Amino acid sequence: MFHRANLRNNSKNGRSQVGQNRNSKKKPVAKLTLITEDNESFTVCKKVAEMSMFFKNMLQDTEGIPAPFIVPNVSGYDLKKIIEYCSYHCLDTDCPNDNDSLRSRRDRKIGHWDETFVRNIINKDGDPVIDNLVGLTKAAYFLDIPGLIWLMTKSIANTIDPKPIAEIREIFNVPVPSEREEEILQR
Amino acid sequence: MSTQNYPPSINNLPTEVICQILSHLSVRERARVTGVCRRWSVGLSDTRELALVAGPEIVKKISRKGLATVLEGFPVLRDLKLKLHARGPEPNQDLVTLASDFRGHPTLRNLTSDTSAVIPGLTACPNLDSLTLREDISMPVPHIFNLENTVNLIFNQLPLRELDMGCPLLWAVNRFSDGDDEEETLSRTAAAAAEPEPARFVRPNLESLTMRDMHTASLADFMDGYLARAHLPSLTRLHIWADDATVAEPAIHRIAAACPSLRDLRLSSCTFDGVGFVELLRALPADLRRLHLSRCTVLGGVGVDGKRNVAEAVVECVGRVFKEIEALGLDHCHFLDGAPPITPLAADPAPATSDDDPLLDDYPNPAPRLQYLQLLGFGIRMPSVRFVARLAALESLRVDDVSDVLRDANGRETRLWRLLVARLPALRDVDIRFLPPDSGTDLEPLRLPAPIIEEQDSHDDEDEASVDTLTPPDSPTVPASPNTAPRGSDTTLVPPHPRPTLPSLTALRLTLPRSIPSLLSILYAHPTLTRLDLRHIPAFTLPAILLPPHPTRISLPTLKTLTLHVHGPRSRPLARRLMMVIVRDAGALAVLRVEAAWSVVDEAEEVARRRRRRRGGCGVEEDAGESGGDDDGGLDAGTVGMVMRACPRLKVVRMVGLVVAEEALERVAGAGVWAETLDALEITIRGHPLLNHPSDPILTRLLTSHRHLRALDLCLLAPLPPPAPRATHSPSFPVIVPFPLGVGLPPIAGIAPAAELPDIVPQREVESLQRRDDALVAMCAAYRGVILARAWWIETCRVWAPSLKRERLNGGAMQPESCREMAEKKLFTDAAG
Repeated sequence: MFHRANLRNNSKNGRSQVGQNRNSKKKPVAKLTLITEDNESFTVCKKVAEMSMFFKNMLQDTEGIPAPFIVPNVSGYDLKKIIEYCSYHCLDTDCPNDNDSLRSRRDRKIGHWDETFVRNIINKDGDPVIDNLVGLTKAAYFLDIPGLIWLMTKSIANTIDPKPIAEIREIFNVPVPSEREEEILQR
Repeated sequence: MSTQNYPPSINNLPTEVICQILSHLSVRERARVTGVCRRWSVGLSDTRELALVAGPEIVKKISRKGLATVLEGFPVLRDLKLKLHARGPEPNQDLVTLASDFRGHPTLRNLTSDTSAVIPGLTACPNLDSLTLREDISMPVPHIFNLENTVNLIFNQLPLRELDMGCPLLWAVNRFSDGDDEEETLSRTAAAAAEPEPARFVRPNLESLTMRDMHTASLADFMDGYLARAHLPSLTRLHIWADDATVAEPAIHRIAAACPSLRDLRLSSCTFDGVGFVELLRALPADLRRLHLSRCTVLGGVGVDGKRNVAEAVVECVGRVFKEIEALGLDHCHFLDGAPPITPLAADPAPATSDDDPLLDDYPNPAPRLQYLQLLGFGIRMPSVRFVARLAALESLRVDDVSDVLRDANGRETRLWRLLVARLPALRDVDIRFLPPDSGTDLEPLRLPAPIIEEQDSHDDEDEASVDTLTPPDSPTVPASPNTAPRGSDTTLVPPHPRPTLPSLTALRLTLPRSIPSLLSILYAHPTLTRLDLRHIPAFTLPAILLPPHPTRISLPTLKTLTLHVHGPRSRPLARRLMMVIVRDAGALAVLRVEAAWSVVDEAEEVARRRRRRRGGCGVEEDAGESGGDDDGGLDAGTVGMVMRACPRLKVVRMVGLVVAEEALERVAGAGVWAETLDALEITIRGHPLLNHPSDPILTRLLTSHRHLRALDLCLLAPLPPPAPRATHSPSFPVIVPFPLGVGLPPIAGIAPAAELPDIVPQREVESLQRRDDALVAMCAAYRGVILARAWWIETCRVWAPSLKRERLNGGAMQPESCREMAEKKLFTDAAG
C-alpha cells in the first residue's frame, strides 16, 4: 500500500509536468520513473511502460504521469530485462500483446530476437539459470505483460518438453514427493 | 540483481501461469509431467482436445479407471477422438472397452470414434456438433446387438451440424424404415413420387452428411427410409461412399427432393441401374457447385459419334446441365452402352484456328465457372489437351495423360506445357499422370519443352547472360543430349520462352515424366512452387544434365514439400542427383521424401556383380560414362552435408532405397542442424557389424541429439562383409569371413537375375535365406530395445529388415478378402459368440 500513498502524494507534481509539456511547442516524450524494491531506478517512456497492463491501467486511472513509482515484488534485474523486452516490442505491431490473439495463434513460434533474449537470460554466467526465467515470469505476471508471459511460459515449456521426470524435478527445484504422495500421483 | 529474495521454485508461480506453461505442451506430455508434482496436474484441466489412441499403456490405465471418470478431469473438453493405433497388434478390444464406458460430456463439440460403442453415451452430449463414426471392419462388435433406436437417436435427436457415418455393421441390425412393414415400405417406394408423405425427419441444422460403406440394401434403406421422409433445408454437402451398391432410378430423385440447397455431391462406387448419364444429371439438384463421381457405372457414352471422345462429351454435358458448376471429378467411371449417347453441344462452330498455333481454337468454353477438374481412369479416351485448354477458369487440373491429340492436321507436335501456359493462366495445382509407354497405344510420348543449354561467356555477368540467352518462342530448341551439352564450363539452363510460367502455380505433381531436362526447365521457370511431387520417374539412364557440374540453377525458395519417386535400374543415383539439384536453393523445405525403387535381391545381385568384377573382370556390363564410385546409391556424407546446409528446417525425412552411409549419420549427429525441427525420420542403414554390441554408437548419438523426434522407421540391412585382405591379390577371392550370428552376406553367386529366376526355388536356398532372415529379425529386436531405452521420447519406433526369403520367392502375399466377406464372417462369429 506504500506505493499507492506515494503515488497520491506526488500526483500534483505529475500533473504540473504534463501541463508544462502541453505548453511547449515540441512535445517531449512522457517519461516514467520506476524504482524497484532493491532500490534500482529506471526511467522509461510512457509507451514502453504501457506494454504492461498494470502500468497502463494505472496511468489511465491517475490521468497523468506520477512521480517515481515503486514497483513491488520485482527485482532490478527482472525489471531491466522487462524494459529491454518492452522497448523492443512496443513498436512491433506484429507481435501480439493481448491474451485473445495469443490464444488464437497456438502454433506461433518464438521469434529470432526473442530467442536471443531468452538465451541471454538462461546463459548468464555460462550455465543455465532456470531460476531467472521463473523469476522473470513471475515479474511479468505481476506487471501483466501478455506477450512476455507467453514467451516465458513457452521457453519454460521447451525446457520441460523432452526430459524425464526426475530431471524436471531437479531443474525446477521441485521437492521429490513422499512415497504416499507418489502413490496418489500414480493413481 | 537479487533473485535470492524470491524462492525460485517453479511452484511459487501462480496456478494460472503453471497452466499456461503446461498448455504449450502436447496432451501426452502434460499427462506425463503430472507425475512431477501434484500441482502440475492442473495442466490437464483446460485441455480442449483429447485424442486417445488404443495401444499405448496410457489407454490401458484409463480403461482401468474408466473413461467417464477420466473425462470428469477435463471440464472444458471440446474435441474427443478415440482412435485405433495404426500399427498396433490387436488393441481393438481395448478401444471397445474404453469407449463403452463413455457417458457423454456436457461441453463436447466434436467426437470422432473408431468404434460404435460410444453411441449410448451420445444422449448425454447436448452440445455435440459434429460426429464421426468410422468403424473398421476388424472391430469387435458384440455391443451392436444391444443398441436400440440408434438411427432415431443419431439422425433425429442430436442437433448435429456434421455427420460422418461409417459403421457398415450398424445397418445390419438397425434400419431407417423401423416399425414399418416390409410390404408397406415397398408400396411406398412405388408410390413415393406420386404423393409424398409429410417429412418425418426435419433437421434444420445438418449441413454435411457422409455415409460410408453402404451396400445395396442399406443404401436403398437410406434413400427410401430416410431421404424420402426427410427435409434437410441446410444440407449443402452429401457424400455417399457406397460399397458396390446398385441404385434404382426413383432413389436418385430423392436427393433433390430432400436436400433443396445441396451444393456438393459425391457418389462413389454406385451402379445406376438403367439410368442414362444425362438422366442422372437431370435428376440431381440443378444448382450443384461440386460434383464427384468415382467408380460409378452409368449407361450411355461409348457409342458417341466416332469423333468425339467420352470424357469431352461428359464434361460438356455436365457444364450444360449445371450452369454454376465449379468442381467436377470423374474417376474410373464406366459408361455402358445401351442408352442414348451423351450428345455434345448442339452445333460446333467452325474452329477458327489462329495462325500461330493451329491447336489454339476458339470453341466456346463448355463450363465457364469450372475451377477444379479431375478426370481419371478414362484410359486412352481422355480429352485432348486442346479441350482442356478451353476451360479458362481452371485452377486445379488433375488428369491422366492428355496427350492423345497432340498432332493436328499438319502433323505438327504441340507441347502440352506451352498450351497450358498460354490458355490457363490461373492454374494453381497441376497433377498429370502420364500413361506408361507400353499401354498398348501408339501415341507419341509427350514432350515437355526441352531446355536450352548454352555456353556462357566467361566474362559475362551471370544475370546479364541469362537475360541475353533467352530465345524467342519460335526459334528451334537445342536438345539437351549428353553429347552436345557442354561440360566442364559454366553453363546456364534457360527456358525456351521468355516467361513460360504459370504465375500462380504452387503445386505440381507429375507421374511418369519422361524427360528430365524438360522437367528441370519447368522447375526453373516456377520458383513459386510450394509442393512438388514427382512419381515414377523412370531411371534407365542417368541424364547428362544431372552430372556435375550441375548446369542448372534451380531456385525454389518457397518449396515446402518434395516427394521424389524413382524406379528403374539407375534409380538410386538418379534419385540422389535429382534431390541435390532441386534441394540446393530450397531453404524452406520441411518435408523431404525420396524413394528409389529397388529390392534386396537387387542389392544382393549388386554385391555379387561387384565381386565378380573384382575377381576377374567378367560380366562387366556397366556403361563407361558413369564414374564407378558414385552409383552405389548410398547417401554419403557430402550429399547429406549439402542437404543440411541447404535445408535447415527439415521436419520429415524419408529416404527409402538409399542406404545412409555411416559417415553421413555421423555428420548429421555431429552438426545437429535438425535437432530442433526433425519430427519423423525414415531411413535405411546397415546394421553394425559387431552384433554383440547392438548399441550402434553413431545411431545412438544421432538419436540422443534429436530430442524432438517422434517417429522413427529404421530399415536395417545386413552388415557388409569387412573388406577382403588386399595383400593376397589372388584370383581365389572372395575370402568369406564368417560373421557373428551368421548375418553377413554369404556368396550370392547362386542368385540369378530376376528375369531368369526359375519357377521353383531350391529348398536348400530357401532354408539358408530363412536362417538369414531370422538373424536379421533378432538384430532388429536388439536395435529396437536399444533405441527405446536411449531415446524414450520417440513415440512410434519401427525397426525392420526386408525379408530376403520373401523377396526371393517373389510374393506369396495373401489375397485380401473382400470387405463384404469379412463383414459377414465377423457378424456371424460375433452373433454366435
